[in-house]
Amino acid sequence: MSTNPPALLEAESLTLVRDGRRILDGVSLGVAPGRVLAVIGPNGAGKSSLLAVLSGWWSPDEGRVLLDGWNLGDFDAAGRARRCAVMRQENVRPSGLAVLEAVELGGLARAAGAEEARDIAWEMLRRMDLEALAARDCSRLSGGEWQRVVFARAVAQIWNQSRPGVVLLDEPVSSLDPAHQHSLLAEARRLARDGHAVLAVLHDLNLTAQYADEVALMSEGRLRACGPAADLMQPDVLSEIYGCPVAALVDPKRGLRSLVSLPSAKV
Amino acid sequence: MVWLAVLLPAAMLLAAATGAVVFNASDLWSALTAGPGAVVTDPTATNFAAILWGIRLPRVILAALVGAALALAGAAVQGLFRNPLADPGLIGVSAGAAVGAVVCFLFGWQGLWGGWLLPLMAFVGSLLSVLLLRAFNTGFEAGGTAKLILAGVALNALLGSVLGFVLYSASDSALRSMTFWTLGGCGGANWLQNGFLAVFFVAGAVVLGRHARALDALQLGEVQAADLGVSIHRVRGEIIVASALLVGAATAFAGVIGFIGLVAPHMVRLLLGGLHRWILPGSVLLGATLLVLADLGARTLVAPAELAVGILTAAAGAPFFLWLLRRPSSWSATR
Repeated sequence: MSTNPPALLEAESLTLVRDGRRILDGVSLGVAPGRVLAVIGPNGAGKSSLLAVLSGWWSPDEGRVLLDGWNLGDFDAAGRARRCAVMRQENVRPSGLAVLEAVELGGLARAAGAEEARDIAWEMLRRMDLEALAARDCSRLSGGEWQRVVFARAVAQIWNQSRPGVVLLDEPVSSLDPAHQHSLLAEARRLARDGHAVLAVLHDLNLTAQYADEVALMSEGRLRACGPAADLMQPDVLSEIYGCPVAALVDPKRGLRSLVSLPSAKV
Repeated sequence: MVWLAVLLPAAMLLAAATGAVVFNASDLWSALTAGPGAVVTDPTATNFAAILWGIRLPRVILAALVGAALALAGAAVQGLFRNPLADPGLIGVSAGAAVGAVVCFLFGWQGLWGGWLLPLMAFVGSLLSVLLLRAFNTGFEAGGTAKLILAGVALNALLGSVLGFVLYSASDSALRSMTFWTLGGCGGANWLQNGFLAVFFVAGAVVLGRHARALDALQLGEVQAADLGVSIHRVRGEIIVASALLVGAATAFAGVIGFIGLVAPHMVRLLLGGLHRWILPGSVLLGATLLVLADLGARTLVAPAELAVGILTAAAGAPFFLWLLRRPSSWSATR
């Protein structure tokens, strides 16, 4: 997938086979610095598997992943962590670890001193509206609060480094209230504006349309389409991918367009 | 932390002063300052210095080193497995050492090589356990750690049956010394043993200390730790081997002593929080203090006879642990 400027993270015909099933089947895509790429598609489409491969946790059976032009497998764990941050769907909230300490762990692979790591962590807490929770034990957080902490930790990983980084987000807003969904994705946009490359697996069609530059549509392990969000976030395209009717509602007064999925009654 | 650092020397002084001959403060001070080679000119006076440097101090220091090693290994293994129940005793390392030692007794080898064959066999036993465990440190994918701990539990059960068989087929006299050994004790300590143990302790502590931050990251999960830049496979292997060396060396000289490695890190976590830069040194100090006190109890409670120290650590540790489990705040559902 050729993008302009060249992609910071690039997948070349990734194929992943598990138990004889092709979970990923020749997936190629790339995210360039300054861009937000949303990966969407129905459950079981291979979105999380794609993320597992892109983050280096699984090796693909075929194809390869390039991070800044280098084979991802050639990075050591620390080197990869300095260039690529991952926010997974995490449900372990460790007890005995304060929120500030959890975010500070984002600086684990960085050369920063303890003081700088703490400064970065505070900055992330400020941005994610978590300052009041800084001293709270992680095990005492709600699901949504924890999700923001995990995001803050991921951003701390690549924050303010000399080179742009990649941020991989797996359903980053699944537990958040509407206001925090917007503030988190706005932060993701801001990261892109600062020159980082952002890839997010999303389910909400409207948030995808609002925050993504490009969209990758996946189903059954294959990449069905990849292109500008404006082109792909269309009722007919989405209806086909999800197998349920999607309609666009337009509010002419405010110039807003929203996508609504409908029950798949025989239309 | 400061309290723990004060507590240990206080416990060691108390233990050094207490025994069949009780020292008062000035006796203790003059004996300490006299040094190990002090010559006593008055033959009727009690030779405090000889008792202190020849008997008490080696024993107190052995107890401190063994307690520190067990607690440090326990803290590291609990952190690695993200399992507060993990303990080097649980995954077969102590049992391996016990089998090695008991085999010595079975064949009547305990006196061979100037008595050094026994600790050597114990050490080899624990080492074999570790090598076997390491074979299960293969999976890089999630669940690798769970596999390791389950393999350890299975190994522990297997070694337990070997131990049981050896005890079953042993003669009555051998049985008594074996039983004493499987319950642990710090008797018969000498400076040379302490020197060996100290070398192992320092080596293990250096390796584990370097991984304090990685252990913090591991509390988030293995995948997450890898995302943050921890080389999971290498770190896991190093922590397992270092912990096993600590436990193997401690068990080789003092027998199987339970509950120190389980309880001390738990108490430290309650006192100092969840960061391993505090948990590891805190466990060293508290584990040493606890075993020095337990050994003091072992040799004074039923004097002139002596209890196996493992009886005391289990008798005090198990109820404490149960109390810990009952505290709602110390046991989080999300852990």
